[in-house]
Amino acid sequence: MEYYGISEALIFHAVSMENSPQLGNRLTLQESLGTPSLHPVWSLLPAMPRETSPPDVMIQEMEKFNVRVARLFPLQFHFDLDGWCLAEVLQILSDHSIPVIIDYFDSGMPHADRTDWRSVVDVCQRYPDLPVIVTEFRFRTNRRLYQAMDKCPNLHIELSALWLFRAVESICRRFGAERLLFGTRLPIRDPSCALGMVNYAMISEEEKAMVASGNLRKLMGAVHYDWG
Amino acid sequence: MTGVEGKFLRLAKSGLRIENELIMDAHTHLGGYFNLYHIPFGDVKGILEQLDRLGIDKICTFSFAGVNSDFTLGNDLVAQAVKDYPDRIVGYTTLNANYPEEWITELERCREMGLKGIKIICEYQGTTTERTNFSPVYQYANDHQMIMLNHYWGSPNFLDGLAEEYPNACFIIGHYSTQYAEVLRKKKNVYQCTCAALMFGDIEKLLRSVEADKIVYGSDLTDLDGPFGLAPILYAKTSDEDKRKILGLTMQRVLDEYSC
Repeated sequence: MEYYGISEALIFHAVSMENSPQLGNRLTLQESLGTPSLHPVWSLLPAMPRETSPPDVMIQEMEKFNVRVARLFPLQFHFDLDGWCLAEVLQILSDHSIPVIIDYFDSGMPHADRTDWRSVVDVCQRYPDLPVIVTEFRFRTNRRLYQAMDKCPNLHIELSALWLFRAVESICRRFGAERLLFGTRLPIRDPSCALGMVNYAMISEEEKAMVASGNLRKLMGAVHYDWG
Repeated sequence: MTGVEGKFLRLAKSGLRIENELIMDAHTHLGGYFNLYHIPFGDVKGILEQLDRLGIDKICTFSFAGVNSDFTLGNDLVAQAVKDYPDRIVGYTTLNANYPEEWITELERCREMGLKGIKIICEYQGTTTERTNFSPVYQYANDHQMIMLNHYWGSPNFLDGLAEEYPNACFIIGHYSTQYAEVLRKKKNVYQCTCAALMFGDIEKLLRSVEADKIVYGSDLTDLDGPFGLAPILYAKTSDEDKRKILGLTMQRVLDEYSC
């Protein structure tokens, strides 16, 4: 991070994505403990007795460790975003304005575009106060992406998956710079790809600052753990 | 070999245009339309705006339309762009693997229009290079000392055989790979493009097996974003001399030697 000029990062442990969110979340905490520049992200599953804590307990645990971003891996852990599967989790995230990153990475098909835009739009529209951030391996189907951003003001895109020509400028002009979040997927991908797209984008310095950190700080700052 | 204090790294970190260097992008697409995605700013004006922003002097380009629908239309678009911007654009003829009877006619037509290289991309045309008998095309490239850039050349042995049989033709491996390192070391007329070097440390990994004077920078714009392909070279932990070769000097040497 130092070499690339990245001062802070959201992190999650590989185990959170590939084996067990519960175990991975503990490892994520261990890795970030005592390093203020690393912010832990909690990987969540649909609430299910004997596998997960109830949603309110999940959130209390996040509060206890000051975790301000959640992450879902629907393809890795084979669950749906539909109400029958994830409503309780999404509702409580929305109640506390906790940003949720929906990560369509699929280790079985690491080069495929697997974003389920229909479900993403449905989630954004069912929970209009929930900040939704989408990422995956690569957006090569940006017609769905642009349509979804047009329909969902609470939808944000993380940059490590956005590779297309002048995409940063295009999204900033159409939807506003507040809809993009800088991300690299370090240490799998080379962080210079996303850095180059922001540093050389033909947008204002103010917009670059928003994409680079301002937008994410704002979303994390809006999380409220008040229990009424 | 740190690159930490190098010129290119400093420019990249500040998002500053590259000045007083020869920068050539060896792998770009032109045409503005593609079935897979919408391409904002995808016309020639939009491309030149980005080239000027980055400090790229010249691009080698081929058409989207030639990839999978109408290669004649696509090649005409490229020829027009070359005519309009001869100092900025080097045009390649795209061929369709499924129309062998039109290959040589199209190559002749395009060469007369000023196109200097050949683009092959069988994987988007329902076949592969190894399954397609491109012998007439290879022979044409050999006879006219032309560059051929291929999306995927197949096995290293296959490419090694072509480079041996057609020594006057130039074979550019269109996408980042390290599997051809031995062929690149052995064969003078084979070059590696950096296009889509996106995994952590890809450029450094390539340089551990291949010299910079066999590597050319390619971005895949207007499919991918220009800086997406440029930045991994600017940020790479290697010398500015290596970066200079990859970013332009090697490709200029290839063009001087092979472009008709």
